[in-house]
Formats: sequence, structure tokens, C-alpha cells
Amino acid sequence: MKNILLSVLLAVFALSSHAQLKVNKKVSSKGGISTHANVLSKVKIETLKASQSNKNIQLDKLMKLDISEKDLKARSSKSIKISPLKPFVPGMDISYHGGFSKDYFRLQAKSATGFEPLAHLIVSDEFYDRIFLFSADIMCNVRRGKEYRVKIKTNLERDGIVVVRLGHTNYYIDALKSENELAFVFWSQQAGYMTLSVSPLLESAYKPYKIHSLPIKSILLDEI
Amino acid sequence: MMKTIITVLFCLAFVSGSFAQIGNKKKVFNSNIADLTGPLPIKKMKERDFKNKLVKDISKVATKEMKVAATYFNKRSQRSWKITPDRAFGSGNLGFSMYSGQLWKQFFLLEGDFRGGEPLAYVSLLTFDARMGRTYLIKITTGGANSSVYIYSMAGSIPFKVYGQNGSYPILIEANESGEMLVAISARYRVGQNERYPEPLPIKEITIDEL
Repeated sequence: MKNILLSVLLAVFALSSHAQLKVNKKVSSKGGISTHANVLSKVKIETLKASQSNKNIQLDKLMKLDISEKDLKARSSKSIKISPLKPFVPGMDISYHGGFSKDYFRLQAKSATGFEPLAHLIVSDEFYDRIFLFSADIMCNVRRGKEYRVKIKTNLERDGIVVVRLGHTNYYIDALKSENELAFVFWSQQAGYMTLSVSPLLESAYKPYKIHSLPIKSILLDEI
Repeated sequence: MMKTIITVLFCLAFVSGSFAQIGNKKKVFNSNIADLTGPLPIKKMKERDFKNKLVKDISKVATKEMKVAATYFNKRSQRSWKITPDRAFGSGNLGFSMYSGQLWKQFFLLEGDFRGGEPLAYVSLLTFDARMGRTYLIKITTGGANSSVYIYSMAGSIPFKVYGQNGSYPILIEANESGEMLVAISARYRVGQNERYPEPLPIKEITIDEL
């Protein structure tokens, strides 16, 4: 009798594990970033509304963030810069997971421990592991209603995308080896410190996503 | 009655035998450890050679233990350098870099790197310019560093263990040559726990005193 009960329990366990694996594979085999997504040239940081999601971040549903030629060349009235030589300056600092050297902040993927909110996780290709999408938090002190241009100088070994979280919304930016710079513009409804979260480099040609480290030389915040 | 006596004698023999075995094991273990009591003499190495050496030594457990005598802590320093997260690099070759960890305003958090399955023992590198014949006391301040936790380090080509002492991990070296010195530092390990799983080590500051 005991043996039969044990066998039944084992069978139920095996079936549920199989079903779970199927669900995981389904999530991970969804397509990459759509090239027809709406492109935003400026982002307003929502400070009041928090979008709560119980699902993993779906990268193929994110909006693309781009910068107009005009904003890219706009003169700045005030600038702040951080780099490994000076990672913390009044008005801006960084905390991140990865490597650190004289030349780079090297953002690396961080495996989830199981306690992170699902809304911050994606599935990577490493054993279908759940990865904490954002590796870095950049804190910027901003003034209400002012426009800010962020320029992240990188040294990429391959093309990909980088996901940024502004306020409570995620966007993606094309990260091109030929440009070695990620730039975008945002403005905030409120004054004070804002957090910009940044992911490592994601190779969207692979499904599930292949994650690579993102070497950052410097981050420049211009008030334009 | 006879049976009871025999049982008691048997138990006593068994227990004493076990203790003897444990004692022997401890003796064997201790005989493998040669403490580094004075300054560790090191020569400058090229970073590439040093890193190659690190890779080779990952799976090895350092057999030496660095023990810094209290007198060195009381010595007056000729020159001194301090490394903190907001100023990790200075003039010359002074600098601290991490291969795996986290950067925070308050501390560097060194983490074990499990890429490739095997934990990477040495996850950070301290560099500084030394003068020939001088002794340097390096203190890695973490808070909570005591004799129940330790780190691995490597200077020159010698890997060794350093136990926490008064909130820091002290390393004492003597430069056999002038030039850039390299010191590798691992995450933290806890006495009696699996050495394959290092704990994160929060470093508040590193001071280098030229004695």
C-alpha cells in the first residue's frame, strides 16, 4: 500500500515538473524586440503611477527609446559626469553589479535568488535561468520640468540592446558597436533624485536572450 | 555484571580510539600549515603573469596563513594611501579593481564568481607602487572581520589565508624590488563552512601603510 502511494506521489511530482519546464520554455522562446515598435524620442518619468506586473519582463513588448538629432546636438546648460575614477559626484552616482576597473564599470547579469519581484526578471539562455534584468541604478538629481540628456559611453564588442527603466516604465535602446554610445532624453514631473536602471547588453537575435557584460566608460547627464 | 563491565570497557575503548583519531587528523592538518609571521617578501610581477598564476591557483587551497604581529600595527607609517569606493585610483599605479562584485557608495562588495561552475577564488586586485626594501601593511577594513572569517590573498606568487583581526584583514609584505606590486583578494569564507561557496565581502576601505 505504501509503495503504491509513493509511486503515485512520484508520478504526480514528475508530471508537474514537466509542465513547469514546458511553461518556462514557452516564455523563453518568445520573439525578440519588434523593429516596428513605437519609437520615443523623449520620456516623461511618471512618479505617481506604478505599473505592477506579475509576469516576467517581456522584452518584445518594450518601446524603443531614441534621441533626435536636435536633442543630441543641443547645448547643455549644466553637466555632470561620472566614471570609474569618480563614480560619485554631487547630483549623480551609481551602484551596480559586475566588474570595476580604472577604465570601465562593467555591468554583468545577476542571477535571481528567488526574492526579486517577477516584474524585474527575464529568462536568459544559461540553463533557462531567471536573471535580474537591471544591473545598475544611476541616481540623478533633477529639477522639475527640465529636460535631461543622458549619454552612456560604452565599448561594445557586439551589437545588441540595452533596457533602461525610467520611473516605472521599461524601454530599450539599440546598442551599436559602431556608435559606442547610448543616448536618450527624459524629463521629470518632480524635483529630486530619480533612479535610472540599466541592463547589461542583450543579444536579441538569440531566443532566449544572450546576455553580455556592458562596459561603461562614463555617464554624462546634461541639462538641455 | 560481567556483561555490563565488558560493555562499558568496549565503549570506553571505542570513544578513546575516536578521540585519538581526531587528534591525529588535527596534527596532520596543522603540519601542512606554515604561518607567515614576518613580512612576506615579494617581487614585482607583470599583471598578465600574475593573472595566469591566479587562474592556476584557483582550485588550490592556500596552505600558508598570514599572521601580523601587533607591533606592526603600532609602527609609525612613513607614507600612507587610502582606497575607498569614491576614490579607488590614485597617482602612479595605486588602484583597486574587481572582477566580480558590486560597487556601492559605502563599500565594494566582493562576490564569488561562479562562472564556469568553479568559484573564482580571487575576485579583486590591489595595485600600488612600492620601494625596494620597504615593508607595507595593508589593512582591508570591512567591519565584522574576526577570527571566524577569512579571505584568501596572493602577493608575489604566494597564496595565503588571512583571518579577520579587529575589523580588518591585515597583510604584511616587503618589497624586494621597486615598482608595481599586485595583491589579489578573495571574497569571504567562514570557518567550518564549505570553501566552495564564498560569502560577499563588503570592503569599506583599504589602507596601505609604508612602515
